[in-house]
Amino acid sequence: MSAIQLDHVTKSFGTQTAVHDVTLSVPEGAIYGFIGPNGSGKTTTIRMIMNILVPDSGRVSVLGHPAQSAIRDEIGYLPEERGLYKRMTVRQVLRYYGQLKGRTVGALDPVINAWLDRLQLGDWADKRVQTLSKGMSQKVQFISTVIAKPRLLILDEPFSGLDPVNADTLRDAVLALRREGTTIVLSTHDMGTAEQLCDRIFMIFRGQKVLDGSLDEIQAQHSKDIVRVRTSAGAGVLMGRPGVLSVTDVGNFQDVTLTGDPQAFLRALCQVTAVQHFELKKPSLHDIFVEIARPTAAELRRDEVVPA
Amino acid sequence: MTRILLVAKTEFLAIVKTKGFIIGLLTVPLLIMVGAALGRVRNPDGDLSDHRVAILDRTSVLFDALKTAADEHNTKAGRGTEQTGPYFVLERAGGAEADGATAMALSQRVRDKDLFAFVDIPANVLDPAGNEAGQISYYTQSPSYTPLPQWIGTTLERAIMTKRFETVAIDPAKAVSLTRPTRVNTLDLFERRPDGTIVAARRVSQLQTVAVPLAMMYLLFMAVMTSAPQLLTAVIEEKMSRVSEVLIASIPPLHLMSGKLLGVAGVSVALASIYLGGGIYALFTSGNFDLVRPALIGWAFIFLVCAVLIFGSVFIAIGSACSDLKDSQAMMQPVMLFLALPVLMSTFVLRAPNSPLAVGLSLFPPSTPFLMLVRLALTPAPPMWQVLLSLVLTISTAALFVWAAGKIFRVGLLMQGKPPNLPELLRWIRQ
Repeated sequence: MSAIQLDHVTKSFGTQTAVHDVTLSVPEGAIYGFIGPNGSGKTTTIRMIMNILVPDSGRVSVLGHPAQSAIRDEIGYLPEERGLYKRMTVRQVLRYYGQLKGRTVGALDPVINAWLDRLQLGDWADKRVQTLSKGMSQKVQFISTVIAKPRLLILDEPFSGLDPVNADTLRDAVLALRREGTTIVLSTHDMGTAEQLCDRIFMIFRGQKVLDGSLDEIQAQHSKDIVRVRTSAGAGVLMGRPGVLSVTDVGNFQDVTLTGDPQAFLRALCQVTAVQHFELKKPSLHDIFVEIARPTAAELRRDEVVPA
Repeated sequence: MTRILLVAKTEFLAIVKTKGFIIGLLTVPLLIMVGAALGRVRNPDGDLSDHRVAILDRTSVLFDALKTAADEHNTKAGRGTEQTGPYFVLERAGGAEADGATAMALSQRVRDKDLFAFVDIPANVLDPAGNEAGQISYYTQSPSYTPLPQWIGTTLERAIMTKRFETVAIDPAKAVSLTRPTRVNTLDLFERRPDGTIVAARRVSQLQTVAVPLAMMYLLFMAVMTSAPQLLTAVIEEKMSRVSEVLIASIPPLHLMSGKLLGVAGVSVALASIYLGGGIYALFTSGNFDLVRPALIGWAFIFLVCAVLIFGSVFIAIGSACSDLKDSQAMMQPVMLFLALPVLMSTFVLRAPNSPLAVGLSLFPPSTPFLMLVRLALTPAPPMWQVLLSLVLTISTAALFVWAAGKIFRVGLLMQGKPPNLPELLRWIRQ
């Protein structure tokens, strides 16, 4: 069973189509990365999963149920821009959020204490939220989404603005939750985080799904048979060899775009010079993202015309 | 349902636990106590300086009467620490021969603060026949101080009348008893008891006819004003701090809004109960317990809840549609006007509770809770059909407002940036 299943989901606001015919299946127990430029439909997709928005067409099902309020209690949601009640104490806020998920104070208190200790906030339990630093309140916000022990956790930019120590603490907490079987959707602009943590990646661009798969699958789809080469003969020997489309000289290395089999090219190259370095270059998620989301030449021209 | 109550409880405590609420709660009884204490002090302004007045008595016969009355006044004002007001010290400034130069000299003395005022009494004030009888002139630099000219007016009027009666040979004492004023008492009606005896009508007190209805209306107004506008700030704060999105991920927007309305209704009911309890206690201890009418109190609470629902929904809708407090202030003003309308109109309703204006206003839902309550507190009570109609209209309006606010709330919470205009709001409601 999938934790989240979207079937041909479309959502428009007025004339603007925010999400167009997206189909997606998030398996249970996975960390699924949601990436995409600002305004491409990520938040709308998440809000439809949360049943905050209702799709115009298509079907959303969460944890095996059609998305509806009954299943909300099993989902923890940390929106990108998030808040806490400033005048409440940390414990009051956490209790309130937990009770809104249908848990009792008796069941919540031990969980709250455990999490506060785990994230080094134990001394702050009875302090008002407005006295916390930004990093601390961000950790409290994270705790507020997990105290109800959700089966599905949706985190929108959970690490942004955190110092490396706190970011590591939260990352460990996320991984621990995954080990306990929690399905996690991680929406982020940080491609490094996505590569590091996510089992699978979903990219939405202009409302449409453009990537969906494991990192390996995505890289395989987008690798362009580029090899990075270093030989004792330098760039000159590479030009004009069979199968070579182009050569980009980056100094001590040359990036060679091939049409044929890289192994055959390596064998041929060994016969003419000493090969010091030979690497099949995989595009990073960052490269793939930029390639997809980069404005096209036509768009750039249109942008230039606009100011007139 | 438990979550609606949880939201209500949180909202209730968030308002009740603020310093502003507690201070506001104590202010009203404090003001009433200060007012009552001031009322007991005979000389609240603390002015005890002698007020010297020069009298230009061109009749030559009125000064002595004035002087005697001034002595009486000063004796009544008390001595030393017991003194409750300024003494009026009179001096004779001249008689019929006085001219412009005299008046000029007196004016200068007033400017020099040697005198408080001077009075010019023309010779012909005593003329019993003259329609052209002269007017008394009171010259001063402090025209806003009214007790002195008032005292001079009444004292001279009495003295002049006595002199006029003497001129036409009527005994002044007889004249006083012949011209004594007649009073009108207002009573309600005779009643027949079940056993056939007839009960005489009772005097109607000012307290019952004006104070009780007005007090009930202001109580309602205060309870609404203290609670409903808090929803606006609460919703905007939640929206700005992005708490809203966390909340509606846990609880449907309509439930969230219901909880908020319920919490605020709780605040207003608690506030009204405290004040009403205090008022009833005061009436009991002062022996006016016949003014306590349980039915009226029941109506007050019904109308209070309706008013909170109507105005609370409007404030929630504004709060969720706006992204910052500044935007909301502009949208709040017309609402405040509707809230103040019944208070402004209450005097008309008091004067003629069954006039077309009063009936119309008390059936107009935003002002019904306040003005129908005023009419219910007055006698005669409004016809039953009007009361029931107003109740139906108010409850349907409250339901309509809550429904529309729910629609706006749902959409508005997730909106950021420019507040919507009216057509956009209507589209949100229709969605």
